[in-house]
Amino acid sequence: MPESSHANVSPPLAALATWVVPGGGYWLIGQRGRGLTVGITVVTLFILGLLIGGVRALEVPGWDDDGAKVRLNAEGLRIRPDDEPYYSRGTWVLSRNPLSELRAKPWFIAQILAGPVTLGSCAWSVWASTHADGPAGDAPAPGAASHGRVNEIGVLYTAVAGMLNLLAIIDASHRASQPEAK
Amino acid sequence: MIALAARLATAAPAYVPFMQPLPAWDYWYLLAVPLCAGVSVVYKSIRCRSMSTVPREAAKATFWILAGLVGAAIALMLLVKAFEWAGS
Repeated sequence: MPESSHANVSPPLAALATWVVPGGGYWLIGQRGRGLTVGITVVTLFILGLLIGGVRALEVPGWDDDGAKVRLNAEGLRIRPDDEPYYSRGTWVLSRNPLSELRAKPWFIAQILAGPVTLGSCAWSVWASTHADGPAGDAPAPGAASHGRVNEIGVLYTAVAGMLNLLAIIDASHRASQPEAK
Repeated sequence: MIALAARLATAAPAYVPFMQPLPAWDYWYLLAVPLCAGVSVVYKSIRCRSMSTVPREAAKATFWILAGLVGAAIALMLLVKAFEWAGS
């Protein structure tokens, strides 16, 4: 029996709910089976991506591979974290030129579509990349960087999870705009 | 015994999930299966009118996606072999 939907939820709200919680938009319009299936699958794919590539497979815009904020000087050149006091005086790259940073890490554009789970994972990735004695230190970071195929596959899983959630966002908002099925 | 314990202590750290990549580099091609299954499940969940048909439809879609991947791999392998033969 087809799942019925009701149009009490506005399409933008259904879209936002699906981004915040994968499958949430379907839940709001009464299609709970569909919402659970989509939500669990999207989140599972994302978590599998982090498991396969390691959490550091997530490249976070605004932070470098050592967990330090990327800062630029007046000429737009990058300042190394151990180059004090210039580093502290530099401008964070996301404040100055966010598009260039996104162009440097384009997979993030797909990954962020999976929702706030991506933001939490980004914080985890930065933590796992940070050396135990600070961003400019030499002590090993908690997490290991992955390379080669496992890194590519891990990134692919997280990006595909985001793109599938985009499909769900569009579909949930479309269903919310339809009149209630009789 | 002491030497063994010392060697174990300095050996490579045990695998820690999420902190290290999954040691699947010898079986990386098998990682395509869960990805294709996930894509199929979400796509069929969106497209099918009834959720009861999703498991069967998603299984069929997964099979065809994997078959397409294998077919493309075979075709590309034959193409490379053909170029190698033509160049020799």
